Amino acid sequence: MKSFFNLKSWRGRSLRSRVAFAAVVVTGLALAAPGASTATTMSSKKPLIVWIDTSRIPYEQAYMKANPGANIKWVIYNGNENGTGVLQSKFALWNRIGWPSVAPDVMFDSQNYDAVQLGTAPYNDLLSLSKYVPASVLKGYAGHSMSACTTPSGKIVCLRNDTAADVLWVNQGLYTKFFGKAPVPTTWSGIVADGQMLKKGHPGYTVGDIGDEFDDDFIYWGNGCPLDQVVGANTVEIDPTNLACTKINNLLDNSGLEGNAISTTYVFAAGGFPAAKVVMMVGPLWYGTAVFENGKKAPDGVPNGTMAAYPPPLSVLGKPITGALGGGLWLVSSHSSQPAAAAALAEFMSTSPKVQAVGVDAGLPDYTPDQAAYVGSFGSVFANPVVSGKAWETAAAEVWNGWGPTPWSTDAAWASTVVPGVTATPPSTLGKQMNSFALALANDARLAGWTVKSTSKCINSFGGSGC
Amino acid sequence: MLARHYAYRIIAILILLVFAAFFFGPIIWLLLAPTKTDSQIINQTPLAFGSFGTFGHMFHQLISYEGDLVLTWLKNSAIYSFGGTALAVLAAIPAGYGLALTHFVGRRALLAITLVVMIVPATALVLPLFLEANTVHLVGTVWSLILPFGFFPFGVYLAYIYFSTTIPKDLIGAARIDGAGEWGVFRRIALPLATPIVALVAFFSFVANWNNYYLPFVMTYDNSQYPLQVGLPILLGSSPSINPVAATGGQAVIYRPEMAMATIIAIAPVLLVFLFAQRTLVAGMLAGSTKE
Amino acid sequence: MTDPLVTVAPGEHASARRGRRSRWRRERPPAGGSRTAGYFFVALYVAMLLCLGVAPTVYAISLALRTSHGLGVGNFVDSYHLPEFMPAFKHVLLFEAIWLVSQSVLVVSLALMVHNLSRRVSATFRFIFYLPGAMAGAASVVIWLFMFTPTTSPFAFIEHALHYTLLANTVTPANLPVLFAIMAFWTGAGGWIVVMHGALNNVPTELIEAAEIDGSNVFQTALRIKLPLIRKWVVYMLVLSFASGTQLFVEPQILGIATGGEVPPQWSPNQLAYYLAFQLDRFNEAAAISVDLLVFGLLVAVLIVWRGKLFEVQ
Repeated sequence: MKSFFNLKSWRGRSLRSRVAFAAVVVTGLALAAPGASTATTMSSKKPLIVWIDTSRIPYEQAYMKANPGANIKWVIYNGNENGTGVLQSKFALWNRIGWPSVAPDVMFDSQNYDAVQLGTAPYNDLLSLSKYVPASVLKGYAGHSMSACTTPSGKIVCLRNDTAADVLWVNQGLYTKFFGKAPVPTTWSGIVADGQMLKKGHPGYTVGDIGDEFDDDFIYWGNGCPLDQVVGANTVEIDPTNLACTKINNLLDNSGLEGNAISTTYVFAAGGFPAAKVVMMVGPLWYGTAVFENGKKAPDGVPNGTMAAYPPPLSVLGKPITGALGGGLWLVSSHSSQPAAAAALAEFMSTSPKVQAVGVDAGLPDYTPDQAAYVGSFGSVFANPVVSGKAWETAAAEVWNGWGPTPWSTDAAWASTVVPGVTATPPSTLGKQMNSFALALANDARLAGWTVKSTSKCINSFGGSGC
Repeated sequence: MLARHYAYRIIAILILLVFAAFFFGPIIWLLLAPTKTDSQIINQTPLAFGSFGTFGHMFHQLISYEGDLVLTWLKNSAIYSFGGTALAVLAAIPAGYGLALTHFVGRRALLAITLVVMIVPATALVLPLFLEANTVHLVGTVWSLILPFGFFPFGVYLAYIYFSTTIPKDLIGAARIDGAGEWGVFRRIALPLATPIVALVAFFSFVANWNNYYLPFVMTYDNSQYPLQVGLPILLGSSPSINPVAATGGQAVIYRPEMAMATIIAIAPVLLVFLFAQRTLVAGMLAGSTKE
Repeated sequence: MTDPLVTVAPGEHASARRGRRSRWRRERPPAGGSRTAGYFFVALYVAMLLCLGVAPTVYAISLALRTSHGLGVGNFVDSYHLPEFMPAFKHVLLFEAIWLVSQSVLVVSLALMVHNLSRRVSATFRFIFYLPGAMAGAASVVIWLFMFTPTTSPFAFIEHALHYTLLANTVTPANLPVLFAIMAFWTGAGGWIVVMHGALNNVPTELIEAAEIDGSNVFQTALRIKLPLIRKWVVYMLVLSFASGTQLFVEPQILGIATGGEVPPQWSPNQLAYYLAFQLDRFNEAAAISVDLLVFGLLVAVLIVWRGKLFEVQ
């Protein structure tokens, strides 16, 4: 430590003693000052500290009902949402000054790409859970979703909470009105074809959008376009020239629908496209309640029983994969003084039907044994609840594991490169914006110290000089 | 000639009115926004008035968000700002006096250093301050904010100017001859005359402290420690109006009117101070100035 | 911007100095008095200066110089080569150029216009211009977020003329320097208008009268008489604003949150430094960028204190 308080260099003895006194006072007050939380339990055992976001408050209530008297301190934080990096900055700080007693043992994290970053160097702050959670439980998660919790060296550093797989949302009433008994499309070309029929016969309705902040999760992730594919330790493949990428771009750009039946404005945000005019769109399963706002008194919502979920379309290369937007994680700190109890709590939250069955709002449990009960509770919220439930379960197992987890947000890169282009007047196309999107991703990767693999000359050049 | 003079006048007033609309318009919008519901804000004209009832409702919604979180933030802002201002005044007034009216070796150097440090923007030091506070384990305590806030070289400079110009030199000289110690001189002559400068230094310090974002953002590490300025973007990020991905979990939801209400609460204290100090600030102290 | 407004000396006070001209050239302290008493008065301030001004600077420099091979400039070199480094500085310099040019023209013009009005009217306008200064920081960004969203903004007519229908249109990356300039102008211009007004008050009326008798019109009087006499304040404003503008952080940070990343989290150098430190746990490179910005600010400060004749230390 530098000795900033080298008093000998200051003039005047009285000055020195004054400063020394001040330093003592300050230190004393600092030690007496209240810390981050005011937990002072009288019990001999330290409570487990659990950080959750506001949406998990019903989970807290369910847990306490199932485990009355449990010695837990629940702390609300923002769930590390939207790249605010709360956990990253806290962990970075605590790694330097030592982990305080107020540090959490268990955390809910709404960003599904955080676990691998926090569980590997330079952080290395997450508990390896394979010692505490039985292998049978770890195998019980949908599809390949646990890849978000697996470090390159094979450590399991989190448990999945919910899955936010993309499904095809359909406004059942409008669909029947415009397309009669025709089966709901199962491919992206089918969606485009329906959109062209709407454009001709019933203008003003939409089959999807490309102007939102996270459409990359539907359009590219869902089609297997490698823009965020982890291919080795700290190595990512970003390949905008891949066939999957060019095919979906061409399909959408050449459909004649952009700016028409494929909205280029935000859907659901101010000035954007009203929910009631959406005939169908690919979106995560929690759109059903949080964004379409079934039955809630929202200005742009649709009534209960309007939207139904259908299985997501096959990718443009014919694969049964889909993307996802969200899906939270349960993390356990490796600095916890009670690792077994903390891991047990995380496992309970992630897998117990008592917790995971709470309310349609919370998203489909990623733990498959809990899914049936959950979709059984749909009631009349969605049209065609049986089909919707099956679609949710199918989608959950189909999430493509070739997208992340990487310690940067692909949505932010999309929002700063593609959104300004396609929402402008006159609008640009996906194809034209592709290189700047991929380049922004490559920059984020390189800033984070990762190596970028690509066959694209543009991506491999420094600073985009080859684009 | 006279007509042209009046024409220029009228054009000038028109231009000034346009700019007045630019400066004042957003404030009027802000004050009117919580009187409307979210859909009214989107659908009605921007400067329409809603109802007082809605205003009250929005206030209640905001305050009940996450159990009084906004009030906690308000309390924190007050603690950090007032604490910092008190410390700033405590340090700056005597320092300004010392620089102006006493002799000591290094006086001129200290003044020059003060001028330099005064111009270097505070944000340049935030990360270094964080690293230092980190080292002495003050991060996460109120002192990590009150101490930096108390360091106010601009206040020292103001006090220096003030004491050099308003204390009659002969008065000081006479008091010294009469045998009053330096402390006595300060206490009996300078302090009674110091009210205006204390007010001025306190004002600038308070406004700067209250509006500071980067330093508290970096120094606090818990929701319950944030001042209002840092809390505002947190509200923004969890508002479904701004961020469609924000989940609600059945708690009080922050839409646009609540956001506007939060902003009003965040600026209200400083706005009030501005209103009360308007006379002095605009007409008096600042407007007077150098005479060569 | 969160810097306090640096302003002119307080004016005349009712107490003893009526009629005596205050000036920049300070007189020496009164004779007599203990030579060491001064230390007591400045003690607390000096302690803080050392702990909170000098010490963190030294620590940051030491952190920046610490590389994996011992002391060296590796961090400065590495951060310079980051793909976001040069764009961040370019963004900020473009923002500064737009802001400072428009601010100097507008502040001077508005001050001149306001100065010619009657006292009450003038004071009212000045107060209205000054009011947004109360909202510096996060609050002003939230307000402007609504101003930039065409569906909620009273300035929608401007946005619609530009074919903007969404916030995403207004906040498109190419527009960012202009948007930040608008916000900076909104919060900062009022204070400077007040300062200029004060400076204009000190232009001797005899000069203006003489010019008018000679047939000079309003514009000529402004350009030839008034402007040169307030020139140093304009320079002062430019330099201070430039220094504070390089530290841009809160505006792009909050707009980024509100737009889901349309404003990238490393848009400004300070944001890049923050990102390196708190997202990637690379404090040494973050310290290097902080030192870059600090040196920038210091150079500017030393420049005007030593070379400019604005402050004279007696």
